[in-house]
Amino acid sequence: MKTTKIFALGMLSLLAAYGCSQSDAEDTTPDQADSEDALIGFKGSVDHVGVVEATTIMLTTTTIAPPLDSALDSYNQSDPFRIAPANYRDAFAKNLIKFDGIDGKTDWTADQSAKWVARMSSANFQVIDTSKPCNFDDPHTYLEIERAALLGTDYKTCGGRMPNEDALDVTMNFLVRGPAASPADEGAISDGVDQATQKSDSAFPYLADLNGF
Amino acid sequence: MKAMKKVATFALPLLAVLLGAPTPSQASDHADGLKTTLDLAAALTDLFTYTSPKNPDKLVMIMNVHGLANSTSRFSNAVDYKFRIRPIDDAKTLTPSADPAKEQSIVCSFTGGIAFIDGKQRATCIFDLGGAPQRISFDTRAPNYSAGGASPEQGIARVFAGVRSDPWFLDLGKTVAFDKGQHIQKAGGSNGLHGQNILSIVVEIDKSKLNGPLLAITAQTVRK
Repeated sequence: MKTTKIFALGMLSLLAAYGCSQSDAEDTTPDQADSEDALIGFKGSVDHVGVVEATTIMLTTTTIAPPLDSALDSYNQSDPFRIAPANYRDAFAKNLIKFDGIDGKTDWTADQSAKWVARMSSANFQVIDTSKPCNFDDPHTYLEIERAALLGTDYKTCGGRMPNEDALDVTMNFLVRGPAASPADEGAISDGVDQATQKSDSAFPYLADLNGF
Repeated sequence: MKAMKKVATFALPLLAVLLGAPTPSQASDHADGLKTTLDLAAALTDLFTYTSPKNPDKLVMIMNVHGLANSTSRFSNAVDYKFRIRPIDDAKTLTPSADPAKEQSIVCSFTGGIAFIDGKQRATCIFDLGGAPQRISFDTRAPNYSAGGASPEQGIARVFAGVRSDPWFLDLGKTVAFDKGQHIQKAGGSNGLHGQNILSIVVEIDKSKLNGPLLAITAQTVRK
């Protein structure tokens, strides 16, 4: 931890110096002065999102300060439909074994593990079937299509992801208790938090108004 | 002074994560890398996809960025915010089509505003769903929203962009423990993101324009 703190303070000093060094440029370059991006000199893909906790839980191999894991930046910068599997396969597989073992049981079959690792190391997306029902008032659809595919069963809901669903509980139970597990099961894993600051609404634009100012 | 505000905006969350404190970096997709921790306006936090509860003929897609937003926060004028949609041809493998020609997209970009002072921007979203792309433009601040704006329904779609309450929730300490491979207890959870806001882009679109009912959808930010 001591090394981490020293490194952190060093980084802060560097950022402070870099930020202050931008002030001259701000005075002469209006576009930059108006931008919140003055610290960033980067072009190309920055980030993608699909599966919840794809990076900081499923991919990272460090638990001290996940953002420092260089694998996350390169994963984030990949084309989400064309990620290079060889770069991430081992990390996804290692973590899945770790999470599957939390309850002292092996719930993932070798075939299921291989399919999930292949999926996450090659692409990052949500699956939705728009012909199936989404119940906004009782949201239990997230990963349902993926779980059914891993189990070889038919899915019943739209999949996708709705704002009020407890996607972290879904994720934790999926990783630890396997594709058949549901947060609704007796003895299911939960972090004990089941609602955001404000619940999302059923009318456009769905997400609740901002908090504070 | 302005430069110091910038430093604080970017450096303080970075400092927190570097010091190992439980932070939103363990949350969903919030600040999940060094680059995204520094680049908040391009750092995606969540994606939602579902059928509209008010109109079953509409698909809703929501992407959120900037896990530390407030009422003056802006989208980056240097970033394309993309929803990318590909059909899934095989329900057993759930593999998206490898043919880029089958991809449909909605790409939103922004102009205007003043950093930390004026969040009002002009948003332009281009709907490339096959055929001639359609364009929807609107202001990101409008009287009927506290810190957001929306287009009226135009043809196939409508769009909102602005600041909203962060819909993600979790107990940060328990998530860190879980990440370490520890068993966690349900009792005593506390939302570590209570009171946080995000910048959100909400798109509602006719399902009939999409390449099939079974779809792979992702959100991506790309610096221009």
